[in-house]
Amino acid sequence: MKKFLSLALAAVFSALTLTGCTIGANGSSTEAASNDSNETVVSAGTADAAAAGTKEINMVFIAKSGQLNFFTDMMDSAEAAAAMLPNVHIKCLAPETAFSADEQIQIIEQSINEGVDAVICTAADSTALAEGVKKCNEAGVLYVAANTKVKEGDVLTWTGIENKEVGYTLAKALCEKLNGQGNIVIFENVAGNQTTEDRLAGFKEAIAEYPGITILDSQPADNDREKGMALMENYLQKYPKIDGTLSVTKDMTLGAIEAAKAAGRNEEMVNVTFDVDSDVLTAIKNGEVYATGDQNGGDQAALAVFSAYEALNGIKVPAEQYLGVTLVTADNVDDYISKAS
Amino acid sequence: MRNNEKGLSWKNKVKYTAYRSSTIVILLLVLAFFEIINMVRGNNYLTMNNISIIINQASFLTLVGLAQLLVVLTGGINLAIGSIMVLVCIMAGQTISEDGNVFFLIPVMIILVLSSAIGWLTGAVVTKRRIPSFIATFAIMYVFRGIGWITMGRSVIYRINPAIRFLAGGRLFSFAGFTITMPVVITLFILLVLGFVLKKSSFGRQLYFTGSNGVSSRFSGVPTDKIVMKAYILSGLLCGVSAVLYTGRLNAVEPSMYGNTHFDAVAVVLIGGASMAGGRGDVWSTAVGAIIITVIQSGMNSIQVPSEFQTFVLGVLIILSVILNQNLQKKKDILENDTKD
Repeated sequence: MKKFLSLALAAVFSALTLTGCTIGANGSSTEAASNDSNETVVSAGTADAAAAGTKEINMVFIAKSGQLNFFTDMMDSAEAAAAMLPNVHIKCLAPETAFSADEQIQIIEQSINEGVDAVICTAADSTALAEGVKKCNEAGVLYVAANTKVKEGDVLTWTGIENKEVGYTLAKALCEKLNGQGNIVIFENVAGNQTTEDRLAGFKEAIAEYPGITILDSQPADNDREKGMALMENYLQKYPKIDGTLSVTKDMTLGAIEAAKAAGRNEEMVNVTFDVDSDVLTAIKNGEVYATGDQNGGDQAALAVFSAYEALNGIKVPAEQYLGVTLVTADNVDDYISKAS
Repeated sequence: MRNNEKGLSWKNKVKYTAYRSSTIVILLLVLAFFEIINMVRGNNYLTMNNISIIINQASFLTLVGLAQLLVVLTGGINLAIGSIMVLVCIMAGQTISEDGNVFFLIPVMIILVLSSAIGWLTGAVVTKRRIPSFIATFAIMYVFRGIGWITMGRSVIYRINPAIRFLAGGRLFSFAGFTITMPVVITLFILLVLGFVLKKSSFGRQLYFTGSNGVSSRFSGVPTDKIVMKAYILSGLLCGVSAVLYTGRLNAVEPSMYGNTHFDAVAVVLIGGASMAGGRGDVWSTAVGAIIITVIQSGMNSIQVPSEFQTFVLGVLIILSVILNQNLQKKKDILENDTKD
């Protein structure tokens, strides 16, 4: 008896949800469903047939980490973009272990199994995720690369920024601020991270255009506040005059500023960093950081969702879609602070 | 232990002292290594100023090392150190920030009480439920980090109460370029107290006994569970002290902070000559271990080791110093046993 009851309930609920989906899109089918509500099995069948006409689209968005602001922002934007589109449902997921390519591939397999139409993924590893793309290709599911490219496989499109350009823009901003004259130090990430290596290459390209700028030192601090602070203490000890600092990510800069403040030398240098979080914005507001870069992660995610939608409706999408990097300084920081709150 | 020296020839006495202070021998070797390379390049590495920076940096590492040492002495390992540090700061919430405008002892007391309570909880899981400390603290690490993410989400507490910042970075006085800071004084005080407790109190002696041979100590009437419990509570308390000082130093609280601190603490303890099997290790060698790691890091900065090599070099140096330490310890044991016959 219990079993029968739960089955009947399940049938009713599925009928309700299915008819719910089609309301507005196809009024007559909703009527048909409600007329037959005494016989749940039949009405569910009618709703199903009606839904086939309006094409439901299921997407999944896979972040690199569910804990970093940058990726949670991307997930929010992906959801918002999907909400704007008719009949599009999106699930936003992230691997439990941040930056685990393995888990991302597992999520892809699971999503293919559940019958999604498009996978939008910020690949934790450009090489490893080729496996995920292959699985999508075999199952006839679209793969959209947001933020990070994948080395192999049939990818619908890629939306993101060129990290070398990011580095170039940031370093140029610093060199201009220093009027092309001065000694600077650089904070690198741990070796081997493609994103930050590209930014570093961009730094060096821009600095090469300014013969008056000397790189005193360039060393890793592993994207860590504490290590950034310790490295800055060592820099300060070694170099009597530092005019500027450049960092591939913001945590190292914020640690470095504390070191410079403790040594009473924070006034002598201009700091340029990357990523927008509330602490960087406060530091810009207080004049401790001159500029940071915003790679508009939300736009990347939204554009990826829109591209998938277009492709699923038969519109051709370009293979690579570049988005610009925005320089955040004291001039436009208020826009960001109000956005954050 | 000292009376073991009796009956040795003066030659063996010199050897014995060298073996006994194996960590200091390693420190001297590492210092000599970096000083020589710097001298060849025409720099002076061991300036008073630089030494004081190294000691200041090492004082923080010493504290987490001591938190680890207490658990290592019982034969366990504490993998939750970093996440305990983050969690207690998050629990203290706005009281710790500059905007909170609360008398600094209130957040400090909250942090110390909470961290001791967490230490008690960890100890209870290990002693009452008989779950190996590796598994217990491994799980607790994730639970606390997770609570941190859930409560803090994307926000960052930026700008910490100035009084706490003074505890973490205040310069007391300096002579000939050598600066004594608050964290150095606090760490020195804790080293003295903890050193006395471990060597002279009955708790300390029972802790070493429990760690080196749990079964025989239980049968000789040592309340081993109580002793282990106390060790965890003290370890938690030290996590709290580290949390206050690290947070004040970095001037921020963010749920992703201190992700690797438990491993740093293990490295400090191992280089300090402690045995992961328990019952061996002391506070002063742990402090020297922290100084060695700091010297390696700052030395690599000073000779500009490329980022690709730094991680590699750090790993190799840790293994080498542990091997050297073990050899010296073994030789010391042989000398000790010779005299007993």
